[in-house]
Amino acid sequence: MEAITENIRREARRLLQEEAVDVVIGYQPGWDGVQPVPVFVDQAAEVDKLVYNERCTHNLAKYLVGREGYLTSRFRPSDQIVRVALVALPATLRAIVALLREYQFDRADLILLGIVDGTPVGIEPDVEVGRIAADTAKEEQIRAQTEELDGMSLAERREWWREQFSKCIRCYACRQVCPFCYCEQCIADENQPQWIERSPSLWNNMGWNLIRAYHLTGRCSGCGECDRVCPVEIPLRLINSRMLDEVEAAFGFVPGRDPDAEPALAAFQPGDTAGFIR
Amino acid sequence: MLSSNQVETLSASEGVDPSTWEPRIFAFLCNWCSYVGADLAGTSRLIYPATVRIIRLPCTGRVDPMFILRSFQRGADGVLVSGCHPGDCHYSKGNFYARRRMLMFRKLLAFVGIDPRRLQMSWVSASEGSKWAQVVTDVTNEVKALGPLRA
Repeated sequence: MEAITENIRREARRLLQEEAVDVVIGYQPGWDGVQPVPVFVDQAAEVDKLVYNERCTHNLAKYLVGREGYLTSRFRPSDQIVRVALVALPATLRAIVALLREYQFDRADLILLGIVDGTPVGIEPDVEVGRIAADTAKEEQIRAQTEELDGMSLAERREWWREQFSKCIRCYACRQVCPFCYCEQCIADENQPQWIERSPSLWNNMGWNLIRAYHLTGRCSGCGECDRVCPVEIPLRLINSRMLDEVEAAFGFVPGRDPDAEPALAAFQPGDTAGFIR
Repeated sequence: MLSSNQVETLSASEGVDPSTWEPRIFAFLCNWCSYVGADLAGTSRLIYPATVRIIRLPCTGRVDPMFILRSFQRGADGVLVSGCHPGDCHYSKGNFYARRRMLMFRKLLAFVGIDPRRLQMSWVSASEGSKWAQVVTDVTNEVKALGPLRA
């Protein structure tokens, strides 16, 4: 961990001193000294703010895209493009592959300080600043929970999710942390027509959560940030990881693995099978 | 117009008599094939259950899963999406995209415990009036067996 912190600081200092980038996005210790928070370093003198530890889980790709994103902001003239270096975890790298495939920005606009864990990622970080062990415990936990759900009858599963979704307070934190929620106008904020009503009733919450899950189908990089930030602890990660599996089973597509593959729901094969069609 | 909250309360409080209950099915039909097929069923005087509320769209590729969720919210017990046979799409490939979308959306519905049979899809061409009548009959029977959809 210390070695990774050192590597990040060294690379950040070099990039800022050489003026190769304008900002380095990474992690710094939070107010409680435990939970790290994202930091934006734009001066070589400040690189010692940067840290890395096992609690650094934020998907920093979020800061690149969207209306206020560093690489896609409409509030900045195109000749004032900010050059960004980003501390990227494996899930962040996968998210960046998918975002590149969605033509959000150019690879050249970005320097990736990658932390890799051996899981396949369809992009080479410019600098590999560290190697960590893959988080198999979390994966196991998700698999166990999904299997438990699969063992239930439809009605029991319905009841289980009904309980989960009825907790939702519609704070949209899941949307705010997700690098794939970069729409300028989210469907949940539209009111002409208002597809998703705002009051947190069960159906409305289901509408919101299912549509978000569907919009992430074939795109989600599995960083699990939506799950982490949810204040009422809806296990959003279960839905997203299930849909990742379904997409892989049906179309052999894994988001973030192959930079040239068409995203599953933005493509088709004439021979696709769907047994349910009459 | 009722807000969805009112609809929710209504459908939760209304007693359903199984002997008279008929499912409500919202059908999203493409303008070029299935809508004309349904029209043909009508002009051919074919008899099929009066359970479908038809909504005409330019193409099944226009069907956003939001429409389907919204239908369920607004009192549909089942949704039927119907369009041109593969290769016959008026816009060449809309139905191919729709096929993948509906497949994935059914998986999502199943995972959260909504019976995926409530979302049906069919290919009905402009000349298949009798197929349309058959599809509606089959879908109605299937949704009827599932019973009303509650929040």
